Amino acid sequence: MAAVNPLPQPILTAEKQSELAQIANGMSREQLMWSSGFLAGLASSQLQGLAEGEPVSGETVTILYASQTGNGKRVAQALADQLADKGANAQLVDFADYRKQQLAKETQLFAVISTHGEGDPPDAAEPLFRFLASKRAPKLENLRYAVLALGDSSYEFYCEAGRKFDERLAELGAQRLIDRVDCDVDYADSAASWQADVLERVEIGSDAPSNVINLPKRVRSEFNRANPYHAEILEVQAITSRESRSHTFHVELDLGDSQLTYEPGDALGVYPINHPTLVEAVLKASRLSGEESVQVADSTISLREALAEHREINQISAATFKRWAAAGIASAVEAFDGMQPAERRELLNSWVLTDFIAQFGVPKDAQVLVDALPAIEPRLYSIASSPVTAEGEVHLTVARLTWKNADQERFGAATRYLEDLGPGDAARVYVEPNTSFRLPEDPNAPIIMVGAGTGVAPFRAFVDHRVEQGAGGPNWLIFGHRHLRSDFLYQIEWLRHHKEGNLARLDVAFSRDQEEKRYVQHLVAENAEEIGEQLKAGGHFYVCGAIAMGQAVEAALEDALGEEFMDQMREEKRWHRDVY
Amino acid sequence: MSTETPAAPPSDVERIKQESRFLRGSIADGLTNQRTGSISEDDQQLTKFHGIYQQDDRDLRIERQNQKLEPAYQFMIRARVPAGICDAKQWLGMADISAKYADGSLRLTTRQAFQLHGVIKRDLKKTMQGINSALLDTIAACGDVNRNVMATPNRFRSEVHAQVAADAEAVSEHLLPKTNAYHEIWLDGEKVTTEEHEPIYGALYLPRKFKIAFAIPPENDVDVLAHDLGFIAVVESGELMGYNVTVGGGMGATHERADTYPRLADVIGFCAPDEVLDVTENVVMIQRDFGNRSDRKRARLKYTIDDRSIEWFVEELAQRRGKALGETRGYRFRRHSDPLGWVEGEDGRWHRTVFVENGRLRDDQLVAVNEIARQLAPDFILTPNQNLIIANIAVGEKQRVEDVLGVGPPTVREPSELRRSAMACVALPSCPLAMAEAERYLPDFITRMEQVFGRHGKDSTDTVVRITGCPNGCARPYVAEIGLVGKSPSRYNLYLGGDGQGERLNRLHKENLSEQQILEEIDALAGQWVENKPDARFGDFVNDLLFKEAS
Repeated sequence: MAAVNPLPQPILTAEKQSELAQIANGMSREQLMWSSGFLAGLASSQLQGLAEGEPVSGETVTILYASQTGNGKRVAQALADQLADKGANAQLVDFADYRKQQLAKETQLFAVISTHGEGDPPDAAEPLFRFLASKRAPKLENLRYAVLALGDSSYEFYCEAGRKFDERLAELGAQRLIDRVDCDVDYADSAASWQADVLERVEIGSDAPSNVINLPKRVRSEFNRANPYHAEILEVQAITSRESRSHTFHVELDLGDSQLTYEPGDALGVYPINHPTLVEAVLKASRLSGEESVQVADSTISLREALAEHREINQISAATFKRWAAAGIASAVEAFDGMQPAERRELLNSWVLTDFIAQFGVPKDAQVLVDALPAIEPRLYSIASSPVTAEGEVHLTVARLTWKNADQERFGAATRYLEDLGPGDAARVYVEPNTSFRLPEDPNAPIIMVGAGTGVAPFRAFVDHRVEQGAGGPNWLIFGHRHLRSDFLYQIEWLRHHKEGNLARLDVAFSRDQEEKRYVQHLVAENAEEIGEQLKAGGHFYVCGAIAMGQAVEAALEDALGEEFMDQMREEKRWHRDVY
Repeated sequence: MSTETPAAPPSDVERIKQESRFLRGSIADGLTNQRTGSISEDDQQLTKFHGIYQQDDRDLRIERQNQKLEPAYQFMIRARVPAGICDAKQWLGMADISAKYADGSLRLTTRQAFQLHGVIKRDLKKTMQGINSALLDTIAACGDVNRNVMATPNRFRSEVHAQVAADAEAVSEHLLPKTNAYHEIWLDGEKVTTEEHEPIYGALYLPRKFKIAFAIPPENDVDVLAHDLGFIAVVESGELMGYNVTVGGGMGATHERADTYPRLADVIGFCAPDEVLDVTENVVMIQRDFGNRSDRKRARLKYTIDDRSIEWFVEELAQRRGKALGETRGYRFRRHSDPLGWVEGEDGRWHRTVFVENGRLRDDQLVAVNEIARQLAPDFILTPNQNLIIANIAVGEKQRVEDVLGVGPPTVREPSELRRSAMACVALPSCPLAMAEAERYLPDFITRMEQVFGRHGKDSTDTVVRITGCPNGCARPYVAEIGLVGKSPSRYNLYLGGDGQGERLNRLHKENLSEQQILEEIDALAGQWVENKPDARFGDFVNDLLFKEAS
């Protein structure tokens, strides 16, 4: 993982830093203050000079990404940083922000594209995909490009969106610089080698300016995915009632002095610690004590700690099979290749490492075992708080995840981990921006929010934020879950918002509260006319929750408002989806 | 120009009734609002007239608040059962509805009615329709109208009992609200298009609840003097001659308000059986016209009478009826608790009074009664002491009844005299008014009282103990020999000195006592009782001891 996203470069080299310290040493308080002003003045004139000065010469290199979970963006960001370091005039652009007229002017384009659902690109990329597929697509004979496709090989349409994009550019006459690389869930290594290839093949103008304009606008936290912050837990509180069968809890974390900032719509990445029961079961199955010393990254730690904190043992990915084969257990990958897609999916959805070991065996050596396991994956949670109302804190809405495999109860690693935490404990976290799921810039734009289950989380952030900012646009929440009595997440807050007019409308569907099941998509269909009116008035539509729900809501709306209207919504980036 | 001080403005409940279009309000809309398990505050006042109280599970309040969930709203539904009489089909219907939509228990109330507890909003309409299918209704079981009409059980015992029960039923029918709202809202009845009116009540109904009871001496199980209007049967040579009429009784009081108090009714005369409806209607209309509509704490008939005078009332009633009541006849009560066990009726059928602790029938005991209902299809009578009479059993089937009933703990199968005479209201966790436990506490408290009296050799005392969670007095604590009225969690005001037959109010002995303090007080008094006057009732002895000088 770490290879994908190196630590941000310190702004000063160690040498410069020590020179600066030497100069500052012995200065009075006033002198220091004056000096800081002097340096700031220098910086601003340098920036101005550049802004007004000669136009940036050298070929622009565009890095385009389409990412639903943030992985694609991360890879693209890392590439952009490396290109900038090399002196390239690198532009990092979200597909969602990309103007299709620009395409014909591009000379070098590197695209990172993930695949979702039935081989679809992320929502944000859909208009550009459609444009490319149409007759209006321009000739691209001056374009050199490369595509990195992200996907999950347990699904049928593995890396399909990336493949389509890659093939279509070639059809339009563009020159493929590097063969497309398809990455599985465990994408770090393939992505890193693709990046290295890109850096080798990219053309950079000789007079490229330095990258000084790209200095961060605000203090950037030192904490990120590769270097998570140990956030203190303030509260873990159940928010479904005792009779609920969808046990959900609210977690509040303290961001302390981490400098981590976020916006409504962003996600928090949480690194779980694997449950001791599972760690011990893996050790037992491996006939290892756990006391063995192993190397993880640059540290030597015990095998037990490695399994608990650094390795993925609560789920199996396609990569696990390949790594197992590399560790000398070939039967695994053979078995995997021989499986039907449905069988694979079932296995990947239900197995933990002990199931896998029981079937295929385990490397005998502790270090080999650790190396054969993928790094632990952070779990992403839509943030349920506004940074303004919950200053210095971040709140999450987490549903306990359990499933059965071979009559044994299994638990989601992070949900179980978080639920067991209490005030004073710490969790490893970082902020994962989600730029395609943001409040409208216009505070007067209506927003319609559809959330089922924990999908309501970002809307708590949205509504709190809009209220705090005195946004004039009406807020409309459509919430769904099983039972009113037990599962209306944040009910008291929503009722208060509704009573105070902060929610112009609050509609709910509780699927099991009547004989005919009712879901949010039914409410969307029943209210399509009014939804349409608000959207025509510049409204934004948000849907968050399970994938199937997202699709059903989209279908209901498209039925009522038409495909063209929906395309326009997507194009204008007023259709926002955060599904999982 | 009038020189009178302007009357205080009407209470908010008067506005709600006024705007309700004869008790409709926005109840129907509120039922379809899925954002909350509650109904609007105004509608909560109106549903009472339909027999429905919104409550919440108070045990869960704080827990749910932490869960960012609204309180666990639920509804209590009270069925109207005049004189407490129902048949096996109605009984089984209610048990079935409770299993389906409520908490599975049947609560027999101190007014001989059924209560279902824990019905949630989305099941409310189905529950109401179920009750209707069981040939019962909940109309006016609560609200500012005449409540369930009580009568000494049981109608199958003698011709007189049957006549009294019939009069009670007639009064209940006569005073039913005439609005079609109940049928519209709950039974999907057709909407009335013509103008409605309430011939007896008027559009504002009564200022407050109104309670009526019929007693057949020597039983005063209904506590006839605790009601707004009462009828004491006068029987001569096995024939019902008529009734002594009582007015102005009522238990409810409010802590810290000296102008509120329990009051025993005045006996104001005698009427023939065929005058009952006329007397009733006129008493109700006097209260309708003169009752206090500004202050609901002082809106019962007892205050209307005390604020004017009983003479004024008697005169007003005579004027409205065009004739005075007859001379009060002699009567004598002997007790107000239930005799348990078998009695034989005039026609040779047998009736078994079953002890139901706190009136709460559930689990094994409910299963057993249901079993009897299915096998023998008897009639049932809910008693004023929250017990149950299984009526009309042939002599040959008595043993079958006994066999089936042999369930539950010994305290329920063979309760002590003390336990069988005791009563408690529902209180926590469902009643919003409760300040302390009552129903859930009574069994333990009685066990401790048995120990106290046992220490003084009074194991078999039938001293009447009643507990309520608040001063409103649903279990009629102010006529008990020992009355506990909830003040705050685990604290009670201790009232002492009832006469064991419901004809003397007890008095406040000490305030705000813990259980330990209460037991110590009773222990000390029981010691003196046994030493000085062991043959007197405990209530009589302590009344003489503590309050004689005062009165």
